[in-house]
Amino acid sequence: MIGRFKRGEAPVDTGEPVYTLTDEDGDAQDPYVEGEDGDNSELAPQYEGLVSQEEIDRHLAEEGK
Amino acid sequence: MIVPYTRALHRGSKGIDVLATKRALAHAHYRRWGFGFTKTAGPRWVTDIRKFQKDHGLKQDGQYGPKTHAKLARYFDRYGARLMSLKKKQLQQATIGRGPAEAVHQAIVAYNNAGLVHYTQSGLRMEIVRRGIKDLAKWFAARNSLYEDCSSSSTGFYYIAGMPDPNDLHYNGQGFTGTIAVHGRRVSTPAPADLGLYGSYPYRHVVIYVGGGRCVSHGSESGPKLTSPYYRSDFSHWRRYV
Repeated sequence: MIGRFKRGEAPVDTGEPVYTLTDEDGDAQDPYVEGEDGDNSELAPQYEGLVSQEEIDRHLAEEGK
Repeated sequence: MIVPYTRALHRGSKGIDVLATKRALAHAHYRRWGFGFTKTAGPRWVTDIRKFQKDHGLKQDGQYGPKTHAKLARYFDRYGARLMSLKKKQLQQATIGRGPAEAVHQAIVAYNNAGLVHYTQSGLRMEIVRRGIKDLAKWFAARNSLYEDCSSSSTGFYYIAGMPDPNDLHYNGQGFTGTIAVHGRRVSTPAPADLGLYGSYPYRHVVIYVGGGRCVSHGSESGPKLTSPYYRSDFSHWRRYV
């Protein structure tokens, strides 16, 4: 053992992309995902009582709608 | 896996990110495994970096910059990735604040353990808040899974970071994009930990900005994902809560 890790426990190349999160030129791969994940529209009715109409109106006014 | 770039390293640099690069160099067979891995970049580290740079078509300056990091990143193990993210958090605390730096770190940890993060809009969501989880790395290390959706995961990252509840519900385990949208303030340029909304009120999706033009998005069972915030056509705006 070396610290908490066994000798030879090298990362296996699983083909998993690795991203470096640097602002400069150097990202290992382009991390764009495909498709449009995320749709909580069914959640809205369940929680609509959490937001007052006043808050919604103020928000929509801020958004210029 | 996200292996954040921390800073330029050179002979004499000290920190857990130096240790992480030594582990990666060992994984890449440029350094022997041993008991003497320190947090200081010594002459052997410089030699190893030079050899690595030579073999990867980089300028052999013996310094660790973004280009060297881009080539070495795939040799980091999850522990090394966590060390880099922790160091990045330490460095970012001074510039973006302790809370946002921690929220971004937790989002990266979630991404790096995506197999343990499930997607649900059922009552199982808001698990970070409901369970009072204080550090996702420890949670996942114990092989615990997590049930969240886009808004509950974002809320959870803020919760761990000790930031204000973006839903303004005092972390009572409720909240969704509609509550996130009516609190905080709209900003035009994202800073790390800002939340991005999609669609129109009460909004369909929310992501957390993690810097470098990227966000972490948990919108399906295959998430969390790392992506450009503008990956879908209905991006609305950014909001800030600090």
